[in-house]
Amino acid sequence: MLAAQAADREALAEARTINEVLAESVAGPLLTEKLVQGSRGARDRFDQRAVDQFDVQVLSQVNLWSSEGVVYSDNSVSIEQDYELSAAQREVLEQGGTGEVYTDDVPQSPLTEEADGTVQIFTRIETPRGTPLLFEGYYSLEDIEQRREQIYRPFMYIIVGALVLLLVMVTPILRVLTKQVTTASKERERLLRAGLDASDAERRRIARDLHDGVVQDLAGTSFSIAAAAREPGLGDGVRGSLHAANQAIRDTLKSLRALLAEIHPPEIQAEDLASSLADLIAPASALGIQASVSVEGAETATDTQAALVWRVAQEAVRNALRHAQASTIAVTVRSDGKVLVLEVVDDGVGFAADAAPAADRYGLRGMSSLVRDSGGRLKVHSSVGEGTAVRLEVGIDA
Amino acid sequence: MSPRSLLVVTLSSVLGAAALATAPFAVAGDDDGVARGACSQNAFKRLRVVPDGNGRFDVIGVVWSNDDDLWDWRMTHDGDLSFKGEVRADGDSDRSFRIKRSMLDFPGIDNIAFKAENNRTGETCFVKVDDF
Repeated sequence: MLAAQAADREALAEARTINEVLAESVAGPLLTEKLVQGSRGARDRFDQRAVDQFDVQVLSQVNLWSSEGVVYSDNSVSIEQDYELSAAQREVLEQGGTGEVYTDDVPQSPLTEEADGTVQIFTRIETPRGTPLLFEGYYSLEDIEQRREQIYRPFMYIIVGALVLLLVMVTPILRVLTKQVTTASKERERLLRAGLDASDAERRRIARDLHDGVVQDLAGTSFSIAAAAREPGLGDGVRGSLHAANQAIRDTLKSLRALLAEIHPPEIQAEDLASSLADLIAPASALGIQASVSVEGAETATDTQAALVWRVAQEAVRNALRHAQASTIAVTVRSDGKVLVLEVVDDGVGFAADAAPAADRYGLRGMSSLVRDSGGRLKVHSSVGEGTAVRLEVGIDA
Repeated sequence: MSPRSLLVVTLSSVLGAAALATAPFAVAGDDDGVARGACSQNAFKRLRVVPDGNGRFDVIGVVWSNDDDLWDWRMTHDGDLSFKGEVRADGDSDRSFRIKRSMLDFPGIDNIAFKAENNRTGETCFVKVDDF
């Protein structure tokens, strides 16, 4: 429907153009006053010179009107008949330009009775002395559209053919490029995984060496000093010094264990979550921070969920120790059987709520995406002077 | 000469003269309008009007003058000058010159005339088809 209307509009526009060209270029130069006055000889001359040029396929009839009536028609029936201009024709004759009227929309006359389904287009022209005339042509829009189709169809085939050819040529190239991109992506992923594995292995080796070497040695030294401190006959001063040295060694051991946990996180298991979290807060005492861990109901969680809790707690505790200037840190894990909740709360300096998104601060951005990927929710509440609370919720069924 | 031979010669002469008299003129159709005759001196003239079935006439004016002079010619339609021109006759051809034009077939009767004038001798040929 829309296409048909568009085709009609295009056909009408083309018919108007044809009519204007014929009027200005063919009929215009042949106009004489004698023709307007009705001289039969002048009509013969006009017809002789113009009729061949009016032989346009889509043009079925040509009339030439003055204000008094038809002064020429290539349809002999119409010549010297008493016809009157319509209102639309008179308007164009007086004001100039081009107008049109569908033959089916106007009263029938001998002039139009054989012109069903056509459109009458009229253009004003003038004789050399300025007498206005109306050049009128009868056009079949259907014929114009068919002619346009005849003209454009070969071009359409060319365009579609070119597109198909282009598609045929490009498809193998796209397939090759896609395959190359996929292969490169897989290779990059493999290299990244290998790099991570190598890094993890190196961390594991360092942690194992520290644990089996320095940590064991320090533990042995601590036991020896403790045993020496219990020897009878020692002066109080020496015994006190030995106890102090032993305590210092134990503090160092705690720090080392916390460092080991950072270098290579332990394989977290749900039932060991409490002791793993305790290792995280071990450095707090050396900083004069009172830290506590409370875990209830974590046994129902999976090891993966426990590892997620441990990682978020690790990041939150690390931030609290480094930036919060807190005096207490409380790590709490509890579960109602459906949701596992971690809260890390400190009483430190906090930060402004209108600062950068809290979840993006202090390395928690990575944690946020990790939590989202695991189906959990991470929230950080803080304000200046009010401390910080990090809360993780993860569904146990998730 | 025997009476039989005399009859043959007489018939041959009559038929030959008739053939010569009609040879320059084409055969006209039933719907055609044709007028012909002698010009003011030695030439012959003919005007033929043929409807083309498309609201027009083919109007054909011919002059046999047996010269190669320059002739002015004109065609009128109901007294209005429709066409005019100048043509040089070709004495070696069957027809000296032939003018063909198309005229509109107006409602009612059409009167069509053809006139030619020899620029050198002043001979005139005027022929018309009335009430066509």
